[in-house]
Amino acid sequence: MDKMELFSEISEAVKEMEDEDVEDLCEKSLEEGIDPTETIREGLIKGMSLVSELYETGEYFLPEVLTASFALNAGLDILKPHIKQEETGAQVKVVIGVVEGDTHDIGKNLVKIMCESVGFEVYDLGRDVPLDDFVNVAKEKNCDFICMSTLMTTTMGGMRTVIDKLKEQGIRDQFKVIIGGGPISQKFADEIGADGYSVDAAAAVKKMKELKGIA
Amino acid sequence: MEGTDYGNGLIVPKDELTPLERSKLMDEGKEVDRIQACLDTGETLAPMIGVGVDEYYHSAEKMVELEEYLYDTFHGDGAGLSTTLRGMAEAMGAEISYAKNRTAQLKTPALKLKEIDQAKLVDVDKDGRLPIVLDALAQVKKKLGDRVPVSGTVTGPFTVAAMVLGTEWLLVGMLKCPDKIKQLMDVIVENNNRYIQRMIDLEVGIGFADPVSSTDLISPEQYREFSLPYFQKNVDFIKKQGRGCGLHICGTSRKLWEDLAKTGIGLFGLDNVESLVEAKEVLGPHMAIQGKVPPVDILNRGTPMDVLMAAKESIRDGFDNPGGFVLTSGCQTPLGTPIENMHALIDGARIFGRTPIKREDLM
Repeated sequence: MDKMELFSEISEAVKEMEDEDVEDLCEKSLEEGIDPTETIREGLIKGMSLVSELYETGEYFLPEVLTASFALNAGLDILKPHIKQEETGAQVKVVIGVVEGDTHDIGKNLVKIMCESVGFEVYDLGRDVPLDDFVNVAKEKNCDFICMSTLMTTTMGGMRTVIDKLKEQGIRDQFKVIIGGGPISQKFADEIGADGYSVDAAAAVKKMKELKGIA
Repeated sequence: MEGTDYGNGLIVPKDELTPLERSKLMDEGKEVDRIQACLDTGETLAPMIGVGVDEYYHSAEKMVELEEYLYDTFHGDGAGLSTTLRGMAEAMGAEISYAKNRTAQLKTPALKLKEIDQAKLVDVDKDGRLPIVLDALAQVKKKLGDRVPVSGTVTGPFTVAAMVLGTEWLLVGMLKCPDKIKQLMDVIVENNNRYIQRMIDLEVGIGFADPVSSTDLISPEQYREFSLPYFQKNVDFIKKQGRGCGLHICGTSRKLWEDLAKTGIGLFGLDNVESLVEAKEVLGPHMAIQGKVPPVDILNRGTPMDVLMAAKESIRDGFDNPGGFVLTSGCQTPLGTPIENMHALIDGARIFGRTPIKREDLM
């Protein structure tokens, strides 16, 4: 099968949330000796960006996006072990997590998926993340963005603390801070000096591209 | 509070009726002194009586103490207790984590998708915290029921399912194993009915909270397939016994309203992100509406004057709803909300909701 045809079938299978098809097609790409990095970029990630478009236009909702991301991950699990060396490049790097005290992580997961669908490299710290971890990982991995989420009013203050920690260490300018979640508003983002706020995951990635000057 | 002077001539007049008198006269279609106003209360207000949130969840005595305190302090138009969002799921086997200074969170779901066959029917007298809440509800009804309408809140079946499986797994399960999800929903309907029967026997009002049914999470089609039919079964169970109920959905819900108008519910509480004017058009002919002072930016983080102004705006948009209007916040009162702001919400109804209300006075 033609390489491009295979890539487009993989994209389609991700979009259609068919994890078994994605697995079969990724196996096939390896058998045919296609560079797994290319399959990830042109097949899996392209498929996820189709999903992201459908979410933006209101055709897909959270259930479809989550299920498609399972299919994406099934493909990644097959291809990743075959990548010879990590690609280095001027890739956008993101550290993301749900702030300490809160375990609601659907919103965070969605932003992560959307980031991956545009090819950002994401360091996911999970939920209930100690505030220092955001700062430490951002420094260590030389991230462009620190993304924080919470669904609870009691943990909102942690976002301000992270920004204050960056200021204390004199590294506030090295990172763009993006926040989101149920109780968060633009007003709150302005108050604590975050660089961006967005109402949903699609808008978050748009905001990040805008801040990075990527079209 | 009666007599509070907010400046600019905004002095709080005295209530002329108790909340129960007001409610009864309204039911008879008679004139009352002002529109109704309620605080959206619950575990987040436990610190107001010096009690940790975790302790509150497990003590009928503290639940009753808080309701008495809230009524004596604010004289809002309702008192009541909720199973809390995770209460039914906990009774079905979910593990919940409790802490002193925050609301409870789901720690471990009760079931994996492949374990749905094991979904269990609850014993409301034994399982989880359900017996505690029912005990407290009976006491609140006894202590405050002669002055204020008392109600209980139960969680909408779809949100219960989210807490039983974990929200992410529920959402994925709808696509991967829809029949299994529907099987679980049937069990939840029965569990809710068992609890609802107790509320009916206690002669308290009944409300549903169903945040996971928001169109922020699922599509209207998914709502119609996986949530609405099961909610309807609970509503029908209540209506069959000659009683009514209300519903609150957090976040966006506009695309569900045409369906909700047909369910037979008597009250819908909308989130502050939705429009009261639009709700009045679509839902107004069928039910009362309550809303929608923004809970975080205004009630929790604003000044008393901000709250008053938001209350004024809600009253202006909602007071002439054909099915009636209740002033409240767009969602639960957050932990640590200043008491002055809570007073200001009810005072908003006393100042701007005093009858007769003229729209032009509220511009």
